[in-house]
Amino acid sequence: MFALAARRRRFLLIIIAFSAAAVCTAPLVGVVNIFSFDTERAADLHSIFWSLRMPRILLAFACGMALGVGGLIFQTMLRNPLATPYTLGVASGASCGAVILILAAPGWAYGGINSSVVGGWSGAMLATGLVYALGSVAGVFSIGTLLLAGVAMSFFFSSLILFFQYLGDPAQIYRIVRWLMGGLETVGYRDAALSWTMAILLLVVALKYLRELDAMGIDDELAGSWGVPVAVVQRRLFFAVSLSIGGIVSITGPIGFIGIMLPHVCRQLVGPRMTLLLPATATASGAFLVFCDAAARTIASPAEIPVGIITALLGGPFFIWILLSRRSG
Amino acid sequence: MQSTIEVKSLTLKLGPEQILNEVSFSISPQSKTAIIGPNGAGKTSLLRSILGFHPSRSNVFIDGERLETISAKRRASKIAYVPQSVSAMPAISAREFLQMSRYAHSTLFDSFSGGSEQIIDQALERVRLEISVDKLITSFSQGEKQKLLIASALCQGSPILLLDEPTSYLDPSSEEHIFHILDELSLSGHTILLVSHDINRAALFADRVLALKKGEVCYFGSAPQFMTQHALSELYGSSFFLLPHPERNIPMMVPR
Repeated sequence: MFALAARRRRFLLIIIAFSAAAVCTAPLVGVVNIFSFDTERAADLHSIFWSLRMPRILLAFACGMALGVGGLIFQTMLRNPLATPYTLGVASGASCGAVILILAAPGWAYGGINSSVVGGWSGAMLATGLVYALGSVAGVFSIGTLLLAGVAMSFFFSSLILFFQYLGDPAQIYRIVRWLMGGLETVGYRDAALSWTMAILLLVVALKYLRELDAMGIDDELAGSWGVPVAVVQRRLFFAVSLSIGGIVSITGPIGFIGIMLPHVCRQLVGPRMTLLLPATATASGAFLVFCDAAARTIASPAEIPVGIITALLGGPFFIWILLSRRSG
Repeated sequence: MQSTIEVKSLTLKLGPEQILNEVSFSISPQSKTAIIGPNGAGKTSLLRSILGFHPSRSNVFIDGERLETISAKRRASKIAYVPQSVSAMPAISAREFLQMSRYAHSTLFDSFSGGSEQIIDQALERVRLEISVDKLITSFSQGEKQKLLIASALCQGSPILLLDEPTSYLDPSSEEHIFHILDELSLSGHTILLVSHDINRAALFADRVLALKKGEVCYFGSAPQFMTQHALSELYGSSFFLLPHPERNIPMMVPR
């Protein structure tokens, strides 16, 4: 009796246990052996652990968590398993903004925040505003129109990025390409703190609309007849995801596939109810990016691979797996 | 428990198409009304407009209150809706689905603790949905899904029930049972408005019939009185045989 519910709860506990193991192990992995007993290097090792690895782990976990939860919200709201946090044009807007400032103000920085972060954030907010305005055309907010507007804006911003790349010199083009690959290089805790702020904002909003997401994941009209103010919830979730993901992308660049893979895998394991799916996706996505980052730091050691490449390399086979499992199912 | 619906000059245009045109009627409390009409007459659109799903130039009043001024939660506690079907059901159990339908009466805490167990049990028993607790609704038959949607409306506990062809996928015995439940609900004070393509069933069940043709009301009145050769051929553009029901003095429509 109730074996299904018990099995799903067990899977959530397994996901949390694996995630905790990944997060605890990741700071110990890297080019430098942190367990060295060389007393002369103790200060360096202390600095590597606390100033480089821990901030990076925290940044990776928060970014992964936000990308996963953002993807989960969009997939549920749009009832489309292929929707990602980038579907509504936020990532391409952020990328375009970052590219423009990399070209226009390459050396600019204020209080440790450089031009790509400011450009990324501004671009994400501009894209969000434009998509919302287009989605609300004819005075009625429609998630279908929003989706089309998001896809159209993504293409538009991607074309602008190509145009600006064409205008840049080789050094600028390298910086742009490197930014577009996504990365988690960080020193100190400022980026991690900003990312955690974004991730927590998104988690709080998702938690507030847990039951609404459950209902809207079935059918908007049925949810409406049950008393869910569908249009209001959609609008709030759209802005929460866009603001949060815009902030994340401006710090790390676009890191793909997390927001599509992890919600999908977690849904298979713990089912579609948000009470289990939200914590499962949040922890698994965070831990997955921590794991990918550890791989990015060690695979080609001492060189480092941009983490966006690792997630993309895993994302391709993942889509093939979805395709094959659907065909066999 | 008693509630009314009043629709005044309801007009609905979707794109260039005029779906409903100056539709006016009033549903008295505890009554049973069937909306009938040919395909594309605007029956489902009318139900959806009463639920506020369509941005219509509406003058819909529920218990004297204009629809737009009623919050979604309060509207759900007044009106329950049974759609004909739902395109994609999630991989959850019937019990979880019914917990969700109690949204207007539950809190966030209930979604963790699972509330309303007694109401859910009663609804499942009432629609005779006998399924294992672990069976996912994705593997339900169309008929079972339809019973589940009716159970979800019962769980909502709203005094007005809007049903869109609620028995189209059910076998005759289940159909009979569902109409028996609707009769019981009407006797206990519920107001029922249902869309049906089954004219005979509508005439037997409903007190009043609302006949729609090309988005306009062409008849609103007593169900038995509507069952005439003239009214039916006017509505559907074909002629039918009419034979008296063996037990009740209502003519039944028979295809030629």
